[in-house]
Amino acid sequence: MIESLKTRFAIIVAVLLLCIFLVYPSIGPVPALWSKYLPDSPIRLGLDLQGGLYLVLEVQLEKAVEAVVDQTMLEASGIMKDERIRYVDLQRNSPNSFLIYFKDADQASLFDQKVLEKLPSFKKTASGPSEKGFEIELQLDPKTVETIKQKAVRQAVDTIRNRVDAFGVAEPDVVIQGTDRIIVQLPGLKEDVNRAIDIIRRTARLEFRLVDEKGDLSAALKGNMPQGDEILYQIDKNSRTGATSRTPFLVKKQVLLTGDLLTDSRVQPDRGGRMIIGMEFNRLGAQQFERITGEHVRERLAIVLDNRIYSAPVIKDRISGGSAIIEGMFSPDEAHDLALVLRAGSLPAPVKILENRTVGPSLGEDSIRSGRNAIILGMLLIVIGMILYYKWSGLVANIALFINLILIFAVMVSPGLRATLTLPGLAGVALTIGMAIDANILIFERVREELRTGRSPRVALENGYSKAFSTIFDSNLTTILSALPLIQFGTGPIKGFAITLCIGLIASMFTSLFVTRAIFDYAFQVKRIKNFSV
Amino acid sequence: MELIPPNTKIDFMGNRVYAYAFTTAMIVLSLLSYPIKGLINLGIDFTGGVTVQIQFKKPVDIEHIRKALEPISANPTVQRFSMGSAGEDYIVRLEAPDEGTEKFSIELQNLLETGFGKGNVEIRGLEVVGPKVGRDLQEAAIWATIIALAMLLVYMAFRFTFSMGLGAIFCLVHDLIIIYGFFVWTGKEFNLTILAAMLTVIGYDINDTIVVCDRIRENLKMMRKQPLAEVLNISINQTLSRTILTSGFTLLVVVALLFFGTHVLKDFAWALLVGILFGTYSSIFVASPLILAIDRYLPVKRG
Repeated sequence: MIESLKTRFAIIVAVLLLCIFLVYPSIGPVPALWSKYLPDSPIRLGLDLQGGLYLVLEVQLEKAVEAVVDQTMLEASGIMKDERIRYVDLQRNSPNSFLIYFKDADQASLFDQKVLEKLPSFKKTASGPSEKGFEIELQLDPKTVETIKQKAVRQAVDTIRNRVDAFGVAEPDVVIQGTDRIIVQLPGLKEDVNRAIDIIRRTARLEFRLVDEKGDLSAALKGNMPQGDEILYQIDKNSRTGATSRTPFLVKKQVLLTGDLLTDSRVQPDRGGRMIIGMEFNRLGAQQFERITGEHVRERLAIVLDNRIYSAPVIKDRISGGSAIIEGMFSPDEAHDLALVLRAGSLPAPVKILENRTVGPSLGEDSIRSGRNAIILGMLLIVIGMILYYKWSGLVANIALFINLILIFAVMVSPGLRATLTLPGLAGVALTIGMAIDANILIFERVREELRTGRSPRVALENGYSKAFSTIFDSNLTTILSALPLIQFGTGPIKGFAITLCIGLIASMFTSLFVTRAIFDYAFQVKRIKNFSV
Repeated sequence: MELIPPNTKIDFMGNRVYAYAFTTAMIVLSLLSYPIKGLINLGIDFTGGVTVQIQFKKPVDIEHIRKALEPISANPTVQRFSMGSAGEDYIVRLEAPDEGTEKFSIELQNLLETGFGKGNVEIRGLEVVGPKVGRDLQEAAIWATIIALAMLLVYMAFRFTFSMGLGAIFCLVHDLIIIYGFFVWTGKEFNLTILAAMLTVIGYDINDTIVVCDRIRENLKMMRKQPLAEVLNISINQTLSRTILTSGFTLLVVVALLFFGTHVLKDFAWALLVGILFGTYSSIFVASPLILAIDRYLPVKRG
């Protein structure tokens, strides 16, 4: 213990000033000069207190792997055509493997010699004759699968971050949880929560594909699909009647170009005043777009977004300059959101919403009010009770309690930690007040015992503090131990509770031991009191 | 002011049969809830499902709400919980939608608006938890509890003696069983917040037990000749006024939470109330008798 009273009070005053300095921005308006040079962040409120959106998404990682396999199948068929290897069919038989059926075993061995080495991340896992021809199975090696999955999750997080930035929420939070989950938190999001969810979960995979005009659409609809094709629909909504129409198109599975090469997209009105979305490609994209349009003049190019065709115009001429448009019957909001997701990039795989917690702002206000009232009432009851029971010493304990409260909030807003205050967190603060007083009760009860054995007030005080110390230390530490698992596993609100509880207990060690002791020593040494009012 | 007169000597150890009887009775009562009331009412945090908090500007009929939501749920639970100046608040619980949760909130909003008119109804809060997340959280909750208990046992055994550690852990399990029983009997929902309350009770309760154990340890050093029962008795009596005071003050805060809390905080406060009451009881009447009972097999070290 530091001997000099002056030093001790200097420490207390310094801590108190620092606390007030940290807490002040949460209470009152900050002068301009302050916010320019000093930390001025107000306390961070949890979603349950200020309203907002909490989502847990699961990235369908299998789909990302499937997409890689599908792409490889297209590549393989291209190479086989170039090498004149005769095959019957290609088929994906699991998320990470596909089958090739050859005319005979000779063609298969030709494939082994010429094509296999060009597909380095695939291994041949089975081969043999089958009904459809000589069959071989190619499987993506597990390491590559892992890499694809990891990359997909990271890319999804980046994309979603880009998207939520557009909402203008003060502190959006997008983090990976476990291997395939993403937690999105948008505190303070007030309007149009459903629209925000739509924007976040949208895959936004933009593809340019050719319409197979030689294929027989009606036969394909009956189940006789030409090889390498699939049926996608264009869905139009009549803005006056509200009726929707679905037009089927037979399109090639091969994707000529994706939205990955876009640099910009924005809403613009066309000549008729309808909303369209204009897109700009980067240089590589522009070159590819020019080549594709040049190669397929007078064919129809389908613009596909998330497996839905938006338009399928006939290519009139080679298009250079790297810009394209999407037409559709968009409402202004739809068009705005679509341009936003295209700009932010696509998700590498679809996501599923596992958990969705939405808190309206008015509910948050109610929670803050009830939490604050509970803290004030609880504090008031304790303050009165302590003074009744311990008289002047009770008052000293109350001062410590008050400092403790300020300290908790100061630590919570301190720049290094920036903990979040949640509704259970408020309950944690209230509870800490009750538990913090325990330290002083332990000390005072000890002092009383010592006084009863006839010791002088000063010795009683000394002994009271030293004997109660190990108890206080043990009991606070065990409480913190029981709160630690909550910090580790807890979701937002519970974590907030556990953090406030721990901060409160640590702060109470300072206030109930150090602060009260300094006050008592001051009373004995400077004021020279003779009787101990406890 | 003194609550407990200085030389109080209540013979806790001599009368411990009554404590055994009461403790056994309470545990049996809690466990009896299983055959009679069934399992604890797990909230959507653990089972998956939907909770919606809706505010109606004008008074409405519960049947009316049920009818309005019929298209998305066959049998929603509707509960009115507060009437403020702004309107009436209801909590509606539904099963989790089968097909993702994507369109769910929009559908819900539409149904409510067609049923009650736009502007008369506000969705103040919505929680949709998929079954997968629920299962994960259940698992995490069990682990959090086990880890907390294990850390405490290790710490207690390290700082005190193994038998004191066992006594403390037995107290905790006792308290948890009683809170569990309380929640089953009252039919209150067990969710993440209540789990946090339970772990807090664990922490609080170990506090109480430690204060007593600390005294026992201290007294054992000085009273080497006295029988253990007497040392335990003296220690409990010496710490009695602190035990009651601290519980009392903490309960004051809990009562404040009960008084002002919204529905989430109220249940949280109930769990604390029961936990602290029985935690205080168990640190006096459960831990020490147990230490005495197992002294034959795990003798408490003297000196």
